Amino acid sequence: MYKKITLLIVVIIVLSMSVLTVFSNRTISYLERRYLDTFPKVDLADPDFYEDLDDYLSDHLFFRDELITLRNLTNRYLFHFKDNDGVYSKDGYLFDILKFDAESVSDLILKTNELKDSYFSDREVYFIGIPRKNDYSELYHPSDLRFDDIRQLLIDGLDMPLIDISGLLSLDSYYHTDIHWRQDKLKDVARYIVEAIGDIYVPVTTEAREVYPFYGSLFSKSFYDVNPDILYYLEGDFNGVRVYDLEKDSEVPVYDKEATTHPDLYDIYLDGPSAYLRIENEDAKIDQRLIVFRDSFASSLLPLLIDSYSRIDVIDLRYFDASLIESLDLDDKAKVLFIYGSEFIDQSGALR
Amino acid sequence: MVFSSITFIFYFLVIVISLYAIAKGALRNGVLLLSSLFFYFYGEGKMTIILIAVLVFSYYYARFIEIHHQRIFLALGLVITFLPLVYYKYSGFILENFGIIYRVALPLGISFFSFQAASYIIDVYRAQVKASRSILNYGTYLTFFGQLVAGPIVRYETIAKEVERERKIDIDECYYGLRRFTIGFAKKCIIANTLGAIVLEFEGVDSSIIYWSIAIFEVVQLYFDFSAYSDMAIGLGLVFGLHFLENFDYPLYAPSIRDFWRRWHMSLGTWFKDYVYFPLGGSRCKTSKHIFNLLLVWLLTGLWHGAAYSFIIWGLYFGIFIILERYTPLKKITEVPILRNIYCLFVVFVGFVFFNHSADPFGFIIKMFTFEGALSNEALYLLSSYLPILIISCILASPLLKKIYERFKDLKWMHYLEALGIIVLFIGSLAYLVGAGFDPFLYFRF
Repeated sequence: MYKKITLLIVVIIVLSMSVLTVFSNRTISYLERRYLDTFPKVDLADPDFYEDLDDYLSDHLFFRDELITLRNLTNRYLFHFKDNDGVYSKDGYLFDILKFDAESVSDLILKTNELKDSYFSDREVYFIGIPRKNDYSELYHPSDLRFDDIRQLLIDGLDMPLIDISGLLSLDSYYHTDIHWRQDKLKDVARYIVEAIGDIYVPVTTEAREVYPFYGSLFSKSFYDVNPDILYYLEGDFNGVRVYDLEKDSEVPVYDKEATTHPDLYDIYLDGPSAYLRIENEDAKIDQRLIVFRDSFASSLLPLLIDSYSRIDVIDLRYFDASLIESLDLDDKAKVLFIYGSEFIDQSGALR
Repeated sequence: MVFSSITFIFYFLVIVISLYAIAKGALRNGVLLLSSLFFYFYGEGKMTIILIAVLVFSYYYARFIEIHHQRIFLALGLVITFLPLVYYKYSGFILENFGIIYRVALPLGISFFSFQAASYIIDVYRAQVKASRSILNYGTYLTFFGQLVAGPIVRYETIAKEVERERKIDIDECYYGLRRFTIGFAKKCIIANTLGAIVLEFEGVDSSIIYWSIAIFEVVQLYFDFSAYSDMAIGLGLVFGLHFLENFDYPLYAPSIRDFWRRWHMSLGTWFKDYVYFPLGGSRCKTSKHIFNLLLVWLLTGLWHGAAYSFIIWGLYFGIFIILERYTPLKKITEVPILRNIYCLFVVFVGFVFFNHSADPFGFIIKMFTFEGALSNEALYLLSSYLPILIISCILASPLLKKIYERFKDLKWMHYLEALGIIVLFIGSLAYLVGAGFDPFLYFRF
């Protein structure tokens, strides 16, 4: 009898999941912070079709999120892994393990110096490396990257001053479940940076807004002993602000409220990843200009600089080919700021 | 298509089992043959023509050789049967020795179905089995998706009676099939894939203890991966009324290298024993001839696993240890409990470096024995994190659970515990299948 019951249960599980998967209309996995695969174009003679079909069915499998959770918990409580795919939790925060890659740091230094020599040799150019939140917690994995590993390389190698903001940050400057810093903790950082490059800081009048839940990029690999975050953004009077996105060839908002439906809520800042943005503030009280080369960390920082600059050109060299910089109508007197998170400095292969 | 995929479990298998249940008589083999060809086409596309060519040739040639019972025809038949295998698997390697770079994609499972076809022709020649009178039945044997791409290598006589007659769907057999398939599914997804991902994490850590760990984890991963496919094949066979022989018998607990190879990929060992070793004279000959026979068999075993010198060295390495165990005092070690297991594992872990690190096996082995950075902080972190899963894996690779099961299997509570275990393992395997995103297929070179 137990044989029949077991067979029946497994058949019910398989049939119900296969049917429910076919009728799945999910397009986003908030747990994994990504769009799910769409059904591939049917071409029975094309081997890629079958591979894509496998990926699609795996993406849309019913109870996928629950199964991922089950796997993570099994890794923790049955196998006693100290980290799950390189992610661990400590003191209520999630951290990812990243190994120091001196070659990558040197490569970034080389490319940054080349950019300065090629396009900005007569300008004031500055560089900021943003520490990871791991730097504000006790060392967990013995080979985990520390900002100290890259600081001296940057100082020695860069043909520009390094602005050190590490003293202005602490563990609570970062999200619990994400690698990024919290915008509501960056007011002092914004002031320090503007003043460090010799400009006048005009504070943005802001009002903190919250979005919940925010599943950061580390959440899906966690052991679920950390709660989702509240994402903060500082709303201000941005009526005179125009943000032009070159790729979209249109204006985008400073805060994209519709990003709450995106898989990555961090897209709320300056509409997420973008090759080139031009931020112009006609209400700016001072005519200061800035060119920023950045990664995603700057997305939440730049809104706090808006009242200090009449124009900020924002270039992300992960998406914008450096050889095309001359094609941009950049301000010829603006100061230049490179601002990158340690993650990017240590994994700069995406630099174009 | 691989067993450990959503497509296979939730759609392919559901459709095939449904069609099989609806079909009656000879149609059932028709369902299995067509679904097997589709299974192969799904992953290999136009390479399916190779499989069909081997199928058609070996079917008609066996009928021919049954009548024209001459050695020269047997040799000719084997040459033609192995021709695609030699071309796709070994031509690049052969030409490379003459300085010519030539690469061709290897059809999946070609070593398995070529060896099955060859065994069928030989067995018919030897009159051990009668040539099949139905290409449908023979095709069901040769192409059955359960063992097509990762074995075991099934001999026709093993399932001849089953493929040639009408098979009924038996609930008990289906249950045992499900149980065996689920065990294999869990071994593959939960253990083997996880160990594989850990090995990737070990790479790049310059510590001799980590090199040892890689060598050990890779062997355990390979055991779980390979034996998992055999478990799933045996389980699927049961569901469709086909009974395959066991392919693994707790090899990691073997007391000698000779015994290890009697327990690891048994169907391949049996193939070489029956079709190469015994015809050469086996052990009933002069010592020098016996040693030659063993070295030849192990050279071929190495070559079967891959077309590279490292695989030849790998095969000969084990052949030499088997010879040493037979003709030198090393035999005494294999008689001392515990010490013999340590000896056997040591030889296996070192030997499989040639298998897993064919680019520079000697460099890897040197790193294992230099003991540099042995107890670095990173090595200690990794070991403390992953030692529990290695211990769990070693327990699961031992006969311990089977012994416990055998003792209590007739008790009622054990039945329900077993049923619960199947369901939990099935769901757990699914969790690892979708959650890990790491599902290597280790048999691309076989």
